[in-house]
Amino acid sequence: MKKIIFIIMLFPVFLQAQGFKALGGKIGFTFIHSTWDINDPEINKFYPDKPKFYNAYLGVYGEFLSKKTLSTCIDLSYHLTDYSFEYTMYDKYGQNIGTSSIRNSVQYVSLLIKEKIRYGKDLGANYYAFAGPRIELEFNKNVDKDFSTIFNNTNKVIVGYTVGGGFSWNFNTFQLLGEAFWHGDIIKTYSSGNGKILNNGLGFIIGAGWYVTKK
Amino acid sequence: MSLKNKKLLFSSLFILTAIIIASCTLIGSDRPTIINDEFRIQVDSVQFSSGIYNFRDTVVLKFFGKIGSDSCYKLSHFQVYKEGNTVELALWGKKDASSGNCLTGNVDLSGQHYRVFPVQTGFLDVTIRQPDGTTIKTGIRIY
Repeated sequence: MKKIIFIIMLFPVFLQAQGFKALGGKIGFTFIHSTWDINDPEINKFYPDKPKFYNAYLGVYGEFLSKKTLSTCIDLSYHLTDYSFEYTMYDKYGQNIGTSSIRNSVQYVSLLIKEKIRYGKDLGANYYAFAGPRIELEFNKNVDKDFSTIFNNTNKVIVGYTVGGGFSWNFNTFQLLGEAFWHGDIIKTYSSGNGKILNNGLGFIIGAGWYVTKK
Repeated sequence: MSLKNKKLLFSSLFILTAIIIASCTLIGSDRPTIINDEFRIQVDSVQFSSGIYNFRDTVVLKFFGKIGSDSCYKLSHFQVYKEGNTVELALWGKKDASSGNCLTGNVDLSGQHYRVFPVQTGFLDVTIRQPDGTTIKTGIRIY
């Protein structure tokens, strides 16, 4: 929690910077699954199939040091990753009676600093591309006993990168935006002799924020 | 940036960060890991039904332990891994309070059983996975 507060306290510093452009909130999801390449015999006994992944992001963004086509952006997000494992249920006669699921979740604070290049006028539609480094700090997790050997040994700090593109519709004092992005992890979520977990993902984000037009 | 705009900016920032922190708390650690509110049952002991087992006989495992503290608890299903004469099991319970009439009093496994079909002679190894991650190991000779 101290790390979260520290990162949040950095925001006013950036807000004082010249060229402040926008501040707002975002919500996003990834829809391409991450890499689960684990060969743990104890897990594979009951859960032979790979998990279903679910990533959600909720956060704030700021756009600073804005020039005509370039600006620096910061995204600070709460990031939830869910790993849902399906298994087969049996009755007392050993007959298959359906499936059930067990969910493990890991929560991060994600900080992304990106450079953004855009095309468009100050008001109206803007199109842009962006790229930058990302750091994620694990602060909480909810793990089932069957998976503790993996999730209790995940990396607490994950460094990666994000690239993407999007559009914004800018009004006098606010903007709406939509983005598609690729999250690539340089440090793996988990890596050992049993295999690896990588939280790469393709996703989308929608957001709205306060926007400063040129005077 | 005017003073009015700065106030608006910091107010927005405050609200958004509050939303993030609240989300971390609400979506966070209290969520159950098990979908459908099912749970693993703590098994106190396992017994084999009496007799000498021959290859292709049905081996009946009987389980003992507490499922829950009222009549709405019940055994839901078994989670099973089988490989040769090795069997690993977890017992899952469920609380079904849909009737709204849950009478106080322990509900036990009381010898509820699972049937195993040995595929070869030798020792049949049985492992029960417990809710705390420990296991009960037992077995029986198959002739």
